[in-house]
Amino acid sequence: MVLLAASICTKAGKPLVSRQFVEMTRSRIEGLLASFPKLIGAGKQHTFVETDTVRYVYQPFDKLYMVLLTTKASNILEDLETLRLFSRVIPEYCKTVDEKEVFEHAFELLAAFDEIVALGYKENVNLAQIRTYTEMDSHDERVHDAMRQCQEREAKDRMKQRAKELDLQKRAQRAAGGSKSYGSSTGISSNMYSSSSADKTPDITPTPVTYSTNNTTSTIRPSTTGKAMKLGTKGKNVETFVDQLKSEGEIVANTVPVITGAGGAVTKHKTQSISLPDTEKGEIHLKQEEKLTVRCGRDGGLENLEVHGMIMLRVKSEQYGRILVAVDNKESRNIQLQTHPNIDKKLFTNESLIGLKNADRPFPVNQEVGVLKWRYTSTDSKEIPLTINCWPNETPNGGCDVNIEYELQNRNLVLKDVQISVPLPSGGQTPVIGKIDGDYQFDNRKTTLIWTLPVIDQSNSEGALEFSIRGKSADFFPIQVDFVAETGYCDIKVADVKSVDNRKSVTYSSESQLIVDKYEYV
Amino acid sequence: MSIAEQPCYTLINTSQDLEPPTEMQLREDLEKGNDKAKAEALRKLIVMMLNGEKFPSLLMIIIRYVMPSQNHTIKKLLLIFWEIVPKHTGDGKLLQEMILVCDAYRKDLQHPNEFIRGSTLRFLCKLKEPELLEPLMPSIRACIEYRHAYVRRNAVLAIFTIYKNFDFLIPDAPELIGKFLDVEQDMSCRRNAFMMLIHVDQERALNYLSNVIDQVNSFGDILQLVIVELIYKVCHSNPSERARFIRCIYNLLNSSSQAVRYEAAGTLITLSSAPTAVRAASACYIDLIIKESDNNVKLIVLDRLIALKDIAAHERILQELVMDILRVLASPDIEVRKKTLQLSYDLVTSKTINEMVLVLKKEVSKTHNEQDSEDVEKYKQLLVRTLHQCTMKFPDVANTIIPVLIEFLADKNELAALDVLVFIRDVMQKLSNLKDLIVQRLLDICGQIKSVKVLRATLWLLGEYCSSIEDIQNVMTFIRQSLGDLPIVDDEIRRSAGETKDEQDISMSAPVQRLVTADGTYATQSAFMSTNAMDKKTLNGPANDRNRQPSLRTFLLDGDFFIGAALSTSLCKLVIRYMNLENDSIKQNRFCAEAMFIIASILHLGRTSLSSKPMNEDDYDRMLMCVRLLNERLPITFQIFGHDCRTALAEMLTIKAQEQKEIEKKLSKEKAATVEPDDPIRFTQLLSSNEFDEKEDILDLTLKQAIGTIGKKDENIFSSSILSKVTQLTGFSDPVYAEAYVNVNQYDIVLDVLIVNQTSDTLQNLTLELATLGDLKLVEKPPSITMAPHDFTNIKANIKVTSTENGIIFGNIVYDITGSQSDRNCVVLNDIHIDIMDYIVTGICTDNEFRQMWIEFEWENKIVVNTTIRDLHLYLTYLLKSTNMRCLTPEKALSGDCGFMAANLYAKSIFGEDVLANVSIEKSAIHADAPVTGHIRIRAKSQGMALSMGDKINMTQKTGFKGVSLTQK
Repeated sequence: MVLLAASICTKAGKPLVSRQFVEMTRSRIEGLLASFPKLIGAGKQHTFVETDTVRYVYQPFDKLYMVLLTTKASNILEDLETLRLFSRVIPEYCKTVDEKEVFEHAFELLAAFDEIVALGYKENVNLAQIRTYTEMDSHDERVHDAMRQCQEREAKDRMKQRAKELDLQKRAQRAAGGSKSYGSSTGISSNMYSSSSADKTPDITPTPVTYSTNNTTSTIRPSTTGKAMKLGTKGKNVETFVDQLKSEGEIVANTVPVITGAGGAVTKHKTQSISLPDTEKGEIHLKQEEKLTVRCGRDGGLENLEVHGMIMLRVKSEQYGRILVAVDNKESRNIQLQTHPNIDKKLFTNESLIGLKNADRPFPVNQEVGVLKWRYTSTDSKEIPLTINCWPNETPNGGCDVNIEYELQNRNLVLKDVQISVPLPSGGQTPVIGKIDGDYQFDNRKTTLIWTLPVIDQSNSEGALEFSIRGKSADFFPIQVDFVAETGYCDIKVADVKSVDNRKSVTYSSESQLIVDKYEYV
Repeated sequence: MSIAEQPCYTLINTSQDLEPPTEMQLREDLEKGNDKAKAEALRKLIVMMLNGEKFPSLLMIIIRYVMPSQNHTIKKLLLIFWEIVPKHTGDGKLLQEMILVCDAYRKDLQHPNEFIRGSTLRFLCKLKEPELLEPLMPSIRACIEYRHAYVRRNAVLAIFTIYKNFDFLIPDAPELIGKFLDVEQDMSCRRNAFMMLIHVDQERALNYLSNVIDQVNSFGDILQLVIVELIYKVCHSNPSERARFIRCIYNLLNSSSQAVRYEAAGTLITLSSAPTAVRAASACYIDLIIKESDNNVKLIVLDRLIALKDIAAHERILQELVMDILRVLASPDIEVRKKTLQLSYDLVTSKTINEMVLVLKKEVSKTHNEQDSEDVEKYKQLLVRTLHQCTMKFPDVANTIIPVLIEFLADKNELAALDVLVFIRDVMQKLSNLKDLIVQRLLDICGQIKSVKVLRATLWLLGEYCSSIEDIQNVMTFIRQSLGDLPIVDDEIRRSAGETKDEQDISMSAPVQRLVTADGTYATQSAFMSTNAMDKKTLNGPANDRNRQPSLRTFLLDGDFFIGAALSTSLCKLVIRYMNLENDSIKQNRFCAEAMFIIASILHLGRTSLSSKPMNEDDYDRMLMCVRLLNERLPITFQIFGHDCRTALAEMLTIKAQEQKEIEKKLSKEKAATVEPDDPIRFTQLLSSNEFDEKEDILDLTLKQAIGTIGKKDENIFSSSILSKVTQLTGFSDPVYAEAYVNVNQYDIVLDVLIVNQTSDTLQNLTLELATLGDLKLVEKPPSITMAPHDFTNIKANIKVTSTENGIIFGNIVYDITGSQSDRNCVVLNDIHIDIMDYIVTGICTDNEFRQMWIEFEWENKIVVNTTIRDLHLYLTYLLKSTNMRCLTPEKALSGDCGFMAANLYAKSIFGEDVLANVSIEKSAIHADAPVTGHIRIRAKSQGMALSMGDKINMTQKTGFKGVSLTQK
């Protein structure tokens, strides 16, 4: 079971690239590789050669050989399996398998070879995993980087603020001759919000959005429910552009977002939260957003489910700034709720009302500020909103029949734009679809099969897909799921918005959505 | 340590057309470039370093400007860079800069990116400097508990290698890993951890295994494989444990992974030699062969079965399974079939022979239906040979086999048919009770034979073995029929002139004639067949039988008069036998006259221009001799033809059989354990714990062999003494004296050069400059040194060899003298000739292979024998000894003294090149003192090989005769 080296040689016997997995001297490996082409007899129907000391197992390409050197007691079945993997790796990095390409991509090949064999023993990897390993794209690293950036920004902001304060202080001292009244807080600044919330979940840091401070109240209409806006994914630049036009007195039709949204629906970015077009938002706008992270085992069983929720408030003008938001929490599950430090905690726990600690201050104007967040984790497999069951069956001729079915466990949810992406073994094969509920796309470049369903609700809470392709059962994971929903996962809702002074209801607009951050079966 | 001796993990070869960048360019890119430029420069740098260049000045640049980069590609490239970069100064101390590198790796081990952590850990497996590893230990320990399995599994490997090399760095590693194994879930991590325990702490590994032994079947294949390995190792070092694991191994025989089954079967056999175990293992092997579609697997597993057969105790069990083994014949690959047939032949016993013959007969009939391809032909031949061998071993089955085989004679396939004829000859000679049956069968089939070679041999068989008047007459009738109307010449002239009454005859024979004269090859023969077939269709009647071109005549008209000569001899024999049986002298004379008439007609035909090729003199002489013999009827010639020929054949066959037996005996002798008189006697009861001591662990053994750490054993310590290989490079009065010891390893040559400063000056920058001629390459340049007055030193140089050719190493030594203003001094070295005999080993090949290669090889070198040796045998032995070649011509054929000798020689180079030689030498009969004359022809695939072998022989002829003539006295 000891693999000594993996090499690529030309047919003439010049070794191009070779990686040794055990200690051996250079002259030894070069000698072994040099004698290899002379040992191959023509017209043989087998692809191994043995000498007194080693065994060569090889796979011929057009102009090259992929050779594995093993000991003579090595397990041939295992070696052949490994060789197959090695030969599939080469076309992965080289467009054409020839000397020049191999040399150009020598280092990528070496890195991939390293992933297949460790100290002469084969690792249990497939092609998709090798790709992930060599790409080195780490979620943890991104998180870490984001965190570091946040900290840096925070530090910078603090510095600025401090400088401003000092400046003010100096000026005040100069003007008033020493009255030291800089104790008053500057209120809630978005900087503080972003920094404090970034500490734990930097992913969903709300970025402050600058709106035009034009107070053209007459043109603003109270927003409707905004269902049609669900698809709206237009870029910010469009929004600001429209805003600007309006501020200049142009009338812009509300149908625009629908048109632009329809085209972009297929390629939506999942991390970019969807928001209503600005015109649809009222003076007081509440946005409720939940992000779902699910990781399940391929044989069922939930490894991890995590929901991060947040309510964000935006007030357009100062006159609506002093409000209280009533929250209706019907959740019986163990959900951790957390309010912003500037929110009156007592008020919230006793009366489920969100308001500022200092009731005299208004909420900051024209800024989206997070006021409440919650987090829920579970490992109970009943909590999975949409279960996927994937059964690959290997057939004797090397093929694989795959049955995938989904089931909507949480019947209250209406999932939209559902995409279930199944990775396929590479090699340029197209899957043969047997039976399908819904639609599918085959992404040739990434070799993934994307099963799309526009809506999953009570009426079609179960569905299945069958296809067959050449491959192994391990090739079809991880399966990734993506969808959006308008109802939240946790039963938390904004019930009302009241004015601080007279506790009367105020008109407000709201939107709510559930999006998938990461949902995969591994 | 030089590069050649260090472990090497990476090889990248440059493409020639690439312009190597200068050091300045590289420095510029590494220092100022963006990430992409840096990566590109680093790539180039690594490739250049791998090809032997050194850039010590760039080390600091890389540490300062490249190391801080967070780019993943650069990080990966750096890992390879640090792997190959020299980490020591010239005097063996660790470079100061490496401490900085080490710190960077400590950071990478705490990097949030799991892949960077993992690959860094993997790199650490290759690091051999405990000073560098020590500060990293806490980080490595931390990695073993990291969230990602990728990091954990590489951390385990890092700990494994570090513990193996420097156990003081992490003395508690086995314990740590043991605990890790208990909680770990990931299969790869568990495998690696388990593997480590196997190698460093078997006790712990065993304990773990005993705990989980019930779940083994549910583990993944990679884990199962190392479990099998553990069991193998444990049972090797501690056989008393065997009982615990037999059950487990047996379960693994039914694992879902074929690889595990294969490995388990191998281990089961080493664990127990009980018949049940061996049977289970062999059954598993056979099952693997049948189920796996890959030919590689089939061949290698068959090899395992063959090895199993060689153990006497196991052979009996395999004999029971021979019918199962025969199922492998369903595979289409000829190599697999060949091995299977050989194995089953070796295993067949009187119990199973009947069944086996049945299977083989079925296979034979299958081949009749299969499409003709080269492989099918060869397979038929193999089947015939195996059946032949079976009959020789178990004569009882002959009468069932013969009818099947005789069918082959009518086949177009010559290969199988010729083998059948050889087989029939053997049977006729040995099993005389079957003679009549075979003759009958041959007479039945001989009309349908289409190949001239087959027909010739058949005629010989009939001539030799017909023993009753009736048979003889039948043969005669057949000959007459197949020759057509006699005399042939008249008949042919008549035909071509169109004088026949029958018009159809003209239409038929005319095209035949034309075809024959157009070209005289076999293509015409098939043309005949098709004309015949056409005729059959058009004419469709027995009346025209006579007019069809008879087969013997076809061959003769094609110019193949060799068959005429063979026919004449057979006719003579038939006449002799007829005369012995028939007393009526009229009949005797009539028969004799008829035979003479036939021969005479053929002779006549050969002298005309009717046949496409004229008859050669040998055939003419032979036929004339037959006519004369029949004419004179001397008892002595009758005795020779009728009796002595057969005795000679019998003698040849017995000698062949004897040789075969001797070879077999030799093999079985090798198999039988030789017990020397003073060997200790072992009592199993007293030896339970260390029974396996003398057998080495096969896994470790093969690994050591493969990486070349096991040196070749010196067979003769005196003849290959180091001193005999020392070459003097400079003169004794040169300012620098040098001599080299040339040590030839398998693929490289190490020159160990002793250099002595004979002056009283200090020599600076003394450099040994070497260059090579031929297929040799200097691996690295030896460094410059400074030598004190009258000092001496050793310099080593490695030279790589890639093929067998005469190589020359030449060079000089240059140096400066301290304080002197003159130019550099130079001493030219004597050339070192590399002897190709170090690469030539005796090989073995069959006669057929030899002939095949003789035809194929392109290069021939003819050497005239020029020697003072006066004895043919002595010359041959001398030649064999000095060229490492093996004589393929059997001893018996060379014995005796007839004044001339021809022999075939064969050898192989360690690079797999074949070299053939044919010696034909003679000695003048008149002058007893005259030396041997003649020539040697060498053939090889490559020119270099043929030339250098020729040079070698010329050299030995020149230098060697003194020694030989001395021994002669």
